[in-house]
Amino acid sequence: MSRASTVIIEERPEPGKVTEITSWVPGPMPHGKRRYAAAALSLVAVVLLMLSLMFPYWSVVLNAPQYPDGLHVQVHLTKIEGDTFEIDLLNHYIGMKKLEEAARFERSIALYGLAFISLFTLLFVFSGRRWMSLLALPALVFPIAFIMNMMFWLYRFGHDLDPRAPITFEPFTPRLIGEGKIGQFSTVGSLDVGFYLALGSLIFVLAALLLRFTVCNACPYKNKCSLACPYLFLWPPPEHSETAAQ
Amino acid sequence: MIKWTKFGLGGLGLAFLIGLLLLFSGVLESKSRQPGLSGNAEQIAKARGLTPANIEAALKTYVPTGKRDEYLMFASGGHSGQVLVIGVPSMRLLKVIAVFTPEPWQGFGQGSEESAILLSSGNMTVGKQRTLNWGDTHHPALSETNGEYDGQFLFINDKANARIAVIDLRDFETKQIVKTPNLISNHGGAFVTPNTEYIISGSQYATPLPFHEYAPIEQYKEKYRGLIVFHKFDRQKGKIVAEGSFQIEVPPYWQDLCDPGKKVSEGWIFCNSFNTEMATGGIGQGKPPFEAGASQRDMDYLHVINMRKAIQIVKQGKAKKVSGVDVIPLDVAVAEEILYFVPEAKSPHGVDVAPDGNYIVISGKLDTHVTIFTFDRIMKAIKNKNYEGKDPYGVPILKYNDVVEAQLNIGLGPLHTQFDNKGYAYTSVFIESTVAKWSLGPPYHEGEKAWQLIDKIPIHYNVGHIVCAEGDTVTPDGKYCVSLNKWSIDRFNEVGPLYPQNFQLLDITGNKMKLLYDMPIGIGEPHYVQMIKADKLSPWKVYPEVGFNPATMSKDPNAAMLGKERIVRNGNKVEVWMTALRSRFNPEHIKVMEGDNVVIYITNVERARDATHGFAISGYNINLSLEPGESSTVRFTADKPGVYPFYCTEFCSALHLEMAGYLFVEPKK
Repeated sequence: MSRASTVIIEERPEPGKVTEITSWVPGPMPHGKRRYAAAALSLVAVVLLMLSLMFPYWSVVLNAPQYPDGLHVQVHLTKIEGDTFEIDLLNHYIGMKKLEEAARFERSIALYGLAFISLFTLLFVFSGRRWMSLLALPALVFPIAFIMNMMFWLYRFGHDLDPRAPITFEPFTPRLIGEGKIGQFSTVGSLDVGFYLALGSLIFVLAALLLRFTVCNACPYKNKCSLACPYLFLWPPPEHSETAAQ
Repeated sequence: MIKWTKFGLGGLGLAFLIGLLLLFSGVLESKSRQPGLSGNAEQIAKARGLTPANIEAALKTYVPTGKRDEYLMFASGGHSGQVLVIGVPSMRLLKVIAVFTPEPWQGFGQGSEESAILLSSGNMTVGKQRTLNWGDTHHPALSETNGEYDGQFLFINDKANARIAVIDLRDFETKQIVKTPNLISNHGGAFVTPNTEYIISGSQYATPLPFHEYAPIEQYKEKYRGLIVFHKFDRQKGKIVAEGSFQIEVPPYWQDLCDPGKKVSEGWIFCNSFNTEMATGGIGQGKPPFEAGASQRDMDYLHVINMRKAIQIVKQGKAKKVSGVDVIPLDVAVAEEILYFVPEAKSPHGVDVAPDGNYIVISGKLDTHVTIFTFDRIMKAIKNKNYEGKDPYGVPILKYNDVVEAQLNIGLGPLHTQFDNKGYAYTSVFIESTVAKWSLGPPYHEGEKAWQLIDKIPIHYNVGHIVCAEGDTVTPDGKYCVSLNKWSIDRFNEVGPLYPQNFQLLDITGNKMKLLYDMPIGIGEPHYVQMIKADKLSPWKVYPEVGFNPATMSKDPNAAMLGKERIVRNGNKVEVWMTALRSRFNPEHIKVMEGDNVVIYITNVERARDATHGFAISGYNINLSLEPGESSTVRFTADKPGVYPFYCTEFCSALHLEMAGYLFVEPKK
């Protein structure tokens, strides 16, 4: 929702003084609910990200007359699965590296990386300072980084060919998405369930971020907060009720 | 309001128009789909001189590329010692399974140690040891469960040497060859009991018992005997086992085909015989030749055997061991009442139990009739002990009139009968060169419809056995029969004086049989064939594991594996662990000294379907076939110095010719 709207907060920090909050998210929504919603969204984002570990991010089907069922490879964050033995066997003719050698480092740290992204994503909801929203950045960058890394390895595999191979092949870059042609094979690459889960996670983090901004912008105690917001789940805060009662 | 009405009417009109258009297009479409040939096809038919019947036959048998056949036939390969696998209705040869004969394509007996051991496991147990490297396969038998083919195993006999082979239908390869002790020729086998507990075979030519104990022909009646053999099959092991196997001694009539009872008659075995005259030949000595001597009497004897009781007798220890096998002596068989004779038309071939297990059809080759006995009548006659008499060995002979149900004149020379799913029987008629279709009695056909000759069709020529789709099981399928003809004479292009056999596919869906297709068999002389619904088979596409040994049907712990290739020398023994993978052997150099004992453990580590590699060593008479995953062993003495290439004999890949290496045999100093 792009239209700006004006929200009046119910709880007033000081009697008789009205604070206007500008929010991208419309509707009268109490502070508390917004806070909980932001937390819930980031939690969902983390769950999606974790779920994505169980699914391939990218897959490719190689079709050739000799393989009526096609050869299938699924690239997960941590592993490469499918007809890798057969594909390695075929690739050795053109001097391509074994699939297992692709993105070894990336795959080895994928689990820790995802754990950090999740931790940061949860942290930014609990933080008070505006700059702490930067903690959400890894989750936003992650799917894009995956694609770029994938493209890097596709390029490298197609270009880093062993010159001593039986068949000399012009360097090439296999297609990330869509149909390509390598020798007698037509290849169809596509982003898979895992990637779409990570993309979904990104959208949830974005939503959480927007909500978080509106909450902090309007917070009467924003000057009081430090690294962590002390009032996240305790709205209205005890002091606020006291001041309100005065 | 007016506007809406207008629109409504207009819409209605439009809908009507569309409807009309659809109807019209429908008519057009149905016209174009009417049966018949396009102009082009008609031209082709005219140019090739095809009749409408030819075109119908072509349409019924043509299987387009990529499509599968509905049935598979397992045909004996006769004296090629092999088994042929043929698709029906296309009549395409799919495979030749090596059984009793070395077969280089499959590397069978051609350098792989496993197949050499298998081939020699059926060697003669007496006299000088040498590998029997041919067999005369006659009657294949698919394993059964409750009287239905289950698609797990295939058994086949070798008439020439009295052997039985077991083929596993997971990889369509021979797993066991058993030389039947005491017996030297077995025509009446292999036949299985309805749950494949036993594989049954009858002897053919009577010999002394055991055959390797000499007795002159003058002692024929005293010393010569026949045997009915019961090989126990262990389904778990996939092997014939000695434990539980036994034999029954029978008079020296030449036993022929058998058929185990099914359903009501399960537990009983029926075997034909001829030469009840006990002719001993001797054409040079002024005696009648066998062909005449063995055909003097009008009747021979159907052997009726109580198998269940025979098993009990063996368990009670009443059998005697001959060559280590339990043999129920003839006098015990008579005393214990497990053997009866029924007079049957002379020189019979087929004894075929109908699907319900009650009717037993006898085809007397020199007669014009098929004779039908019933199991019920046989049982009643046995119960009443109402015998016609006894044969010279004391075996009770039931009265023909007590057990006969019907006799049908179907033509000269009935040979073998199969059944369909509508209560009809199909009998091959050898001398007349026809196939006869006739109706069974109740419960299949009642009253006047029972026991009628329905149709006859000429075949080309000299039909031996006949096979119909699952036609000897408890639930035949109908649809197809194949006439297994011995002579083809003028049916095919001439290929020299040795003519192919002729398999003729018959359409039996209608009241009248139709001839669909001729298939030449240029490999051997098939005898019997069984036809199984193709979807009952589920063979492996590749071996289930890399390093799989088909001989043991398990992964070989010593198999060469990828990355573990090596050459180890130990004295004058050189062991090589080699892998084959498109398009290389590893190692590619094997250096040995003249006289070294070389052992190569070789594994095809491929996982792709059809990625088979061969492994041949020039000059050393070695060629293996290594299917994906398969592991095999080559053992030889490097007794010829020099340099010998080894190479892949299957065109495995574009770099197939490069898939080679060298065996260097350094001469002794």
